[in-house]
Amino acid sequence: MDCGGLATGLVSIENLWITYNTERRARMAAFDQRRASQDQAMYAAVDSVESRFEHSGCPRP
Amino acid sequence: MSQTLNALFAVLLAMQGTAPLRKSDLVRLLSDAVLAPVELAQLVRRTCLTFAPTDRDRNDFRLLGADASLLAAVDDCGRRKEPRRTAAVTSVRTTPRSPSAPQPPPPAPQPPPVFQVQRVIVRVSAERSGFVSGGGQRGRAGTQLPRALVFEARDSAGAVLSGHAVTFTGINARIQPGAAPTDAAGQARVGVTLGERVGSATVIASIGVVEKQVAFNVAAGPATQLVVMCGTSSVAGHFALRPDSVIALRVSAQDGFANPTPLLGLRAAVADARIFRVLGVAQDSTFGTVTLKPDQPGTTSLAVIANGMRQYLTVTVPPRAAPGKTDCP
Repeated sequence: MDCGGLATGLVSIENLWITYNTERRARMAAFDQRRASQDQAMYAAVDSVESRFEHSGCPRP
Repeated sequence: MSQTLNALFAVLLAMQGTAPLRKSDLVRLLSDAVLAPVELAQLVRRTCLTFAPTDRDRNDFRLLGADASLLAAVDDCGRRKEPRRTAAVTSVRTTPRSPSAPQPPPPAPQPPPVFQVQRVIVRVSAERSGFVSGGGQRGRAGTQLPRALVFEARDSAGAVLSGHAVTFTGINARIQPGAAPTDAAGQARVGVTLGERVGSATVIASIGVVEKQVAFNVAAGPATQLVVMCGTSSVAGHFALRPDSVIALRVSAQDGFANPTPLLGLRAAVADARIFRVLGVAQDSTFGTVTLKPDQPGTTSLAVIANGMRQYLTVTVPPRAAPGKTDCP
């Protein structure tokens, strides 16, 4: 995959992450243990995407 | 002995620093709104970012509520991350001088300074390091968790790493101490006090470039106050009812941090039932409703009782012909 493809993917993930966090804030009081675990797993996954993009050397979109 | 350990720990901390933030971290911190904007700006200035922010990033932060101080911190960090334009960097000593002072002669070329740095190259393994106990606990808002949180550091071969500083950052949680050295077993232990907000709390451990997170569940504390609402306004002390209507007061219980707690055993009693009557009391686990019916002008007191607490309200029913301004509804 070239840098253009990676950048498009990164923007998509970041936009989804922003939307998710905005929604999460409104519902956080209702987070049970299962949702909290899923939330942590998703956080780690997004972090991994960013880390891999940074290591790709592609210019940040 | 302890002084030596403290000194060693301070050096290790200085060498490792604090892990820089990714965009996902800033988005999470901004949307959680746990840290005040000025605290968030301080955090960014202290840790910096893993990326050079673009206009798109700045716009995202702005839409999430970043204030000027945070955006300035982000920009400062971005400038620090810009690639160096010169191949060699020389150290230049500057002295303050007035703008009109003559330019000093160029300094004679000096050999570059030699720094003696003892660097311990240890690769912390992200796969083999992490929290080994204390995660996932549940507790009441504002209380210390009973079990310590333990982080274990290992290298890629699985060997424990002792004497390395681990820094801990709490989101809706306070960590004591904020940084701790790993012991002979490669473990660093800290205490966690949950924050004031019901929901989740997160602790992030950083060692070198490795970061790990663990979540906790924050429950409401015991009820400390009753909140009585008429429509969207809270009523307390003294208020006036509209004489020609049936009034529904909404009652809820809160803990010491204003988190909602279950409402238990709601009752209501009026001192002088000729002025108004309690038509009914209804409740579910979270909210209750006290329905009042004014009958004749006058002032009397209403006691709202729940969770072993009583809230006394002084209620006035004005004359029907000239009610004037009323507070409820």
